[in-house]
Amino acid sequence: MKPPLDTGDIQALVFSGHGRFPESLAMGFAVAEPEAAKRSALGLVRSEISFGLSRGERTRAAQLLLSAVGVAALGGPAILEGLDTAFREGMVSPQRSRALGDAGINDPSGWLWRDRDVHLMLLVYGPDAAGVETTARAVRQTLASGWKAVFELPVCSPQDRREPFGFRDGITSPRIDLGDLNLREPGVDFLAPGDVLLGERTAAGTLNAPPPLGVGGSYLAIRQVEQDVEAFWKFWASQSRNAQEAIWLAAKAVGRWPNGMPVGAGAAGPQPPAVEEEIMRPMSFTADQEGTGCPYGAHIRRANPRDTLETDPRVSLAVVAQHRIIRRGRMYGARAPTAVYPAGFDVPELGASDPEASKDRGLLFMCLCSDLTGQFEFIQQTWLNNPQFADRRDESDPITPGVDVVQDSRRLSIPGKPMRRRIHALPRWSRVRAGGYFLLPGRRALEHLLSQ
Amino acid sequence: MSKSEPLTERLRATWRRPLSFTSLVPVGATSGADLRSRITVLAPQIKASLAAVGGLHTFRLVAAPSEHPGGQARVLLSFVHDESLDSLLPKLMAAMGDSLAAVFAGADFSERKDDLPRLLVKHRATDRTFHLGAINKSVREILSENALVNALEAFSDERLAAGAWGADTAAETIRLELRKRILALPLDLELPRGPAPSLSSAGKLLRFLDLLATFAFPSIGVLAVHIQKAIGLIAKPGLRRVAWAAYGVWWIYGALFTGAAFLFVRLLELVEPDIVAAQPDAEKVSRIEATEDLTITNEVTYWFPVKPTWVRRVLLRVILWGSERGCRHFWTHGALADIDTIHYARILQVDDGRTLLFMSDYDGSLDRYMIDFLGVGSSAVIPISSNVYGCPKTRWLFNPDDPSTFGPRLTSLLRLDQIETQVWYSAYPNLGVREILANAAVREGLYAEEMSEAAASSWLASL
Repeated sequence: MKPPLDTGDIQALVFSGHGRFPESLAMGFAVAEPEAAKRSALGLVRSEISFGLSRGERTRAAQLLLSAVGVAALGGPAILEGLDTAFREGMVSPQRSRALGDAGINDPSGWLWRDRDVHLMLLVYGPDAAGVETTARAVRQTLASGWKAVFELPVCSPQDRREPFGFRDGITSPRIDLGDLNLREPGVDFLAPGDVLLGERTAAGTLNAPPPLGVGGSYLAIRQVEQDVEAFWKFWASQSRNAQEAIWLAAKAVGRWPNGMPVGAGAAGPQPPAVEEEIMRPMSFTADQEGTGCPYGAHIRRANPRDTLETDPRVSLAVVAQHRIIRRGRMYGARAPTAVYPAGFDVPELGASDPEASKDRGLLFMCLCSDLTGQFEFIQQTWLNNPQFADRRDESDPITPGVDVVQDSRRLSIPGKPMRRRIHALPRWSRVRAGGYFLLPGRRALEHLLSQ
Repeated sequence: MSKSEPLTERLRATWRRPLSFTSLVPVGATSGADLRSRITVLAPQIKASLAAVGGLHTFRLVAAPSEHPGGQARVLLSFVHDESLDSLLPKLMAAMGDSLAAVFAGADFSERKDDLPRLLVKHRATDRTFHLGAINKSVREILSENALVNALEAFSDERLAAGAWGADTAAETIRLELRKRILALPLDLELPRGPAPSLSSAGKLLRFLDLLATFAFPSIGVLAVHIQKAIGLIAKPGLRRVAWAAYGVWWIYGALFTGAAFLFVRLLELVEPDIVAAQPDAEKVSRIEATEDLTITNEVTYWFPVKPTWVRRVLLRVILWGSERGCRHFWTHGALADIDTIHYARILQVDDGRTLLFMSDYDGSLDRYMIDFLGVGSSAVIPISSNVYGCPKTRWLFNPDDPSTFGPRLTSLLRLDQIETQVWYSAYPNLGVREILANAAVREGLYAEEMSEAAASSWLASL
């Protein structure tokens, strides 16, 4: 019998995306002098890093991540033994790049940063920019000994919950199953602890003993994805007779309306008003076997095929459960240029706009999992970037940046009468600018590593 | 059919194609490493010549381990082909004979390419199980059906863009218009101009006799789940009812033997020790990974030592016989025990049964394949792999003894026993099995005499 989770040993990011703290900062560091680096990082772990569950008592949060190169620099390469191969290799290797579709415009040779250069990453969260800066200043001061700064990227969780293209994000948001400690909220479903934490039982029933550094830990895949909002909406406008149709086409590509409502069958109609209950209701595709509502090629159906991956919905859910991840992404860069949205687009009042369309903006995608290859890479390679996903022919995800193995599958089919409408030559309006694989270690593992 | 083929192959070819050929040839005192580099050097020339041969679905050339430690290195040559061996082997020799002769240097032949076919046939190893994703499809048909679908899609896009078809246009009208357009195209485009040829009466008879022979084996009941699923897929209701009735009656004969087979396997599982295999060599895995995911279709070649008892060798032989029967009669809709990404899977028992050779050409990543192995396809994979040295223990043939460790241990074992393939070729590396089958269905639909509006609408949805 496995003992219950020692939540106090686990970094808080596993339990919460820190939604109460809309402002945040990602900070990358590299080891300059290992002994001093260990001492200063240990101080940080004891003073700033957030562990365990919180029921609203935190006023700020900080999380500490290590890359494989960082782990090796602090504890020697032998300590990596037993950790995930993908983590040890890092995100940039020919195999990983093929799995992730990092070719062409995503070629890692042009990235701003990668896990090979970033040994330690800190994610600092606060209620406002000033609060974040206060923590960041303390972090910089502490890590001035033994570390050198590589990059800083302010990230945020917009109050309107819209990503730069204008679509509501983060609707499907699973949490780790804590049994009696679970908070029941609409739209939340639960993942087996082992699908996020090393050494716990997975949805498939497997249970592996993790290496010492992995106890209480999880892997974090991070990708900085730049989004060209103007190109996105210009393209849909070019395929449409009017703004309403452009929004409808984009909604078909995403799989939901911009306001988060499920997209239904039928001709191009106006976006229905947002009904929170409908938005948060767990989605099923069994009533949409033809994909006339949410096309099979739509982003949300590829990213999480739910109950229609296999013929039997129960088998499908069981298969999909083996590849679920917990997303912790946030937006970076300038706010969305809402002026380029089609006429009639329901820009929420909360949405701050930056009129300059060409500014750098996008998503700092982050996800937690216990098996980088079997979960994060599997979703990228087998579902999102697979030109033959769900019996498509030469199609790949219309939203995410991955380049598929055939390299020219940029089509989207929207089922309809008398035949599907096929959109050809979809441009790539998002591209990967940076990324890496990190370990989010548990408290004891971190303290042990840094005290050696 | 050729003289080089055994009679059983010739008979089976009347109802189930393409064919498979594998040869395992000792090449003298060469070391394994030297042989690997010899083939690697010649690989580009050989690969460049393969497309010109025609009628080859897949081809691999591998430096295989020797039969005993310190024994002769061996070359594994294997392909799936349309033509008879008598006509294909001379073509292969004409295209790449000199390169192949250099690969096989040191073997018992005159080292002239003309003598190679004899050598290959002499060292032929027989498939114990051969699964086909797309049955009775030649390379030419597969490629031409794909071209047909491309043409249909292009016509449809053109007509839709012109506004020729509206929401009220009947699907059957569109289907007939599309057919007319295809039939009006120049003949040199080599698109299929009618439905695929159906099986000959002799083929159908031989297939039925083979099915009867399958049920003569009293323990075939271990495949009950798959047999029932196959009966459920019979399209004609009358025939399906007859099949259910016959299957029910068969259990009077098969129940005792099937039960005895399960008990025997369970006893074996209880008395055998749990052997934990070594970890795979990281460098080898890295070299293999570098060759994966370059196209939609990938390949694996596994060289498994069988558990070192005669009981296991015999049991494996029986299980492979059963799985071959499954491939011939129950897994005939594009999926091997629900794994629907396999083009060709071939399993052989070589070295007097002490080695299990598994070759597969499959779609998608190896991770996905492994997940299918342990998930939807486990009922075919686990019984076979349970006979392999280092496989974690099983329960009642089909189930892992310890589900919490079985998957990771088997996945690690598969990497441990995977061997590097120096030359691998596929005639259609970016066409998945399901796409090939979908293309075939589009062709059948296009040339169907008439269709209901619902059927035509469903057919149009596949374009």
